[in-house]
Amino acid sequence: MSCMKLAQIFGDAQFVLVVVGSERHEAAVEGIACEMSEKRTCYVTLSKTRKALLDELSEKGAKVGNITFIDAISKTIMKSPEQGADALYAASPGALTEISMMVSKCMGKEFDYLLFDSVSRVFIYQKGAPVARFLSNIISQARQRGTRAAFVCIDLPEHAEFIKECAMLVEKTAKV
Amino acid sequence: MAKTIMVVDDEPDNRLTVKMLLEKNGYKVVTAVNGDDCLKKLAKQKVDLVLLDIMMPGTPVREIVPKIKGTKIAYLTVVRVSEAERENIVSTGNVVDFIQKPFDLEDLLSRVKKIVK
Repeated sequence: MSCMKLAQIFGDAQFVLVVVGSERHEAAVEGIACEMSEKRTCYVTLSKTRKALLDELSEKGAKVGNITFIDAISKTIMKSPEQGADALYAASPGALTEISMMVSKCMGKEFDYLLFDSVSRVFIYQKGAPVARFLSNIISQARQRGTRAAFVCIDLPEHAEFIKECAMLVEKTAKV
Repeated sequence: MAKTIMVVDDEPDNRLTVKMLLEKNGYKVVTAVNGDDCLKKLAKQKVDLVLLDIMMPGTPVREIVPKIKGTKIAYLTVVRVSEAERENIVSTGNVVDFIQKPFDLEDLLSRVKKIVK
């Protein structure tokens, strides 16, 4: 579990950049997702498949029935990922327009939380202005719906500049 | 004769680390920076195993893999899949292993040895 609780991570902010060391990434995100799952959550995954997350989070006692997944991984390696009412599959983590449209579709269902794991994976495909536009778009959609959003970013030296840029788009940066 | 391994990864550090490890252990290593580069190089040179990263810019891996004919492929990736998905992936076509990053160098070497023996 994350050593920092969700309430501490967000404080009074609606949008938070969660910066986490690579060695703590998995446990931290798992902890955040478990806490968020108490309420309706949209989980954008660029790190694990939805199926892997369902298995892991169920084992940790998360209320996975409250989570809708936007999975940008499964289709990169599988032709036909398992379908489900809680699943939207994007073509790849680099398909920013598609992911953005899926977030938009989900926001219509009024989620309490949006978890995005991780912005660092987007950097593999895009950097700079397109990523900033993508995040701004998601933030703007979440703002309209009153959804609280956490954007996870892995703390790597090569991402330092991008982390700074992303930090300017949110209200708070939390190092966990 | 030394077996040839192709390392396909967009991260220069990853390519170098794996290349050095394999060369030190007697393998011939070819590197490629993405899936498209991999296909281009495979057209000119036969290899015994392709170590393929999943998250790379360019043509997605799901489109690259079917074009790699008659060569074993092992994914080498940060992507996490479920146990059932892993079993399904490694039993499909010429994909023979799914190696998780960060990987242990000894474990990687032992898996490569087992695949290309």
